[in-house]
Amino acid sequence: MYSPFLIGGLGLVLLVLLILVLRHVSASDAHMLHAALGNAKPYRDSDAGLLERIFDPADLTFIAAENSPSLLRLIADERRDLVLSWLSEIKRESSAILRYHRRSVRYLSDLRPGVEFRLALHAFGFYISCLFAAALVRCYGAFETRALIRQILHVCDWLTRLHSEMRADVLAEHLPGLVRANSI
Amino acid sequence: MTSGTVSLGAETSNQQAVDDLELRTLSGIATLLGRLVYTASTRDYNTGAYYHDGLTLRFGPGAAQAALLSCHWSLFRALLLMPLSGLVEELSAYFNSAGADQLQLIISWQQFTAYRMLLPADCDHLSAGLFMSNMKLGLAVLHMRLLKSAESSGPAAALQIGSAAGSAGRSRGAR
Repeated sequence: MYSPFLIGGLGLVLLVLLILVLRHVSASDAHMLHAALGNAKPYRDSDAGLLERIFDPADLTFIAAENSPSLLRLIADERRDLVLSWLSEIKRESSAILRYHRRSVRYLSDLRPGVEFRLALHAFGFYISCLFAAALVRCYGAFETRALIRQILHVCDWLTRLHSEMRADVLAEHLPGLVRANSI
Repeated sequence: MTSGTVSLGAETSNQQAVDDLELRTLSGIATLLGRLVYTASTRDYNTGAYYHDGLTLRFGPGAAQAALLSCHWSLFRALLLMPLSGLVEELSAYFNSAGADQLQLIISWQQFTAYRMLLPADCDHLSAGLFMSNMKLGLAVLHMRLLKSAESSGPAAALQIGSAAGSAGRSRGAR
């Protein structure tokens, strides 16, 4: 039903998209994006470790050694559901960051449409990547698509850093008193 | 007295309470899962607050609460990050130590998802999902092993186990 070429093609498109997103991100972008006063984070620090546990091939080997097709089906279903739920959660949290950004840029005097456009492009790339990853996980399962999920995690890591920098920028610009109070 | 000194004093007291809980109570429980079950059982499910008379008497309610919460989290994390093979061993050892029929225990854990009560408060979505998923898988592995061992030991035992599993399945379906 699904040819290896289709899988390879989808994977390639996703990788190219991710590389484009990552290449377009620069420190100056982060510095220019004055936004995000909220506490939303696209993923918590422990997510990387938990995802490693979810994709741990030792679990699959252990279940395979039980010689039970129903157990193999169960682990595949459970891991797939976990990854899909995680993907939808990081999408939701990333949307929250962008909402904060949209709210805060309304008050900026030096708004730069170019930077805003780039951010919109990155966000679009991120959502498309999540959708691709979710589609692949649905079709082929979590264990087969773990390399792609790791790529998504890199994008999430970038979003988290960007969010922290944006938050620091806004605090420094609009609430210098609060920054001083926090640093004491 | 500065707030820093107060906070340091509270931290020391909390740490002493944690050490006391580990030394006097938790070390007497053989398995990590057993310790987690014990710690979770000290929580009032209406309020989410932990209660332990001995700890409260010695360290005060605040330190006792903090110590139980801290131990609950560390035990939960240890089991969460454990490979599935280790979790199955933990489950098996825990059910063995419970002194009841293993199959009945497994079935009731599967039926009532009793392990949901083991999640600490404020547990994030991914950790909770992974823990629940691993427990479900661990129980399924143990159930399957029991069925296989019953099949190999004779048709009567297999029939007995099959009927017990069937009645649990019907009960799940009815709910």
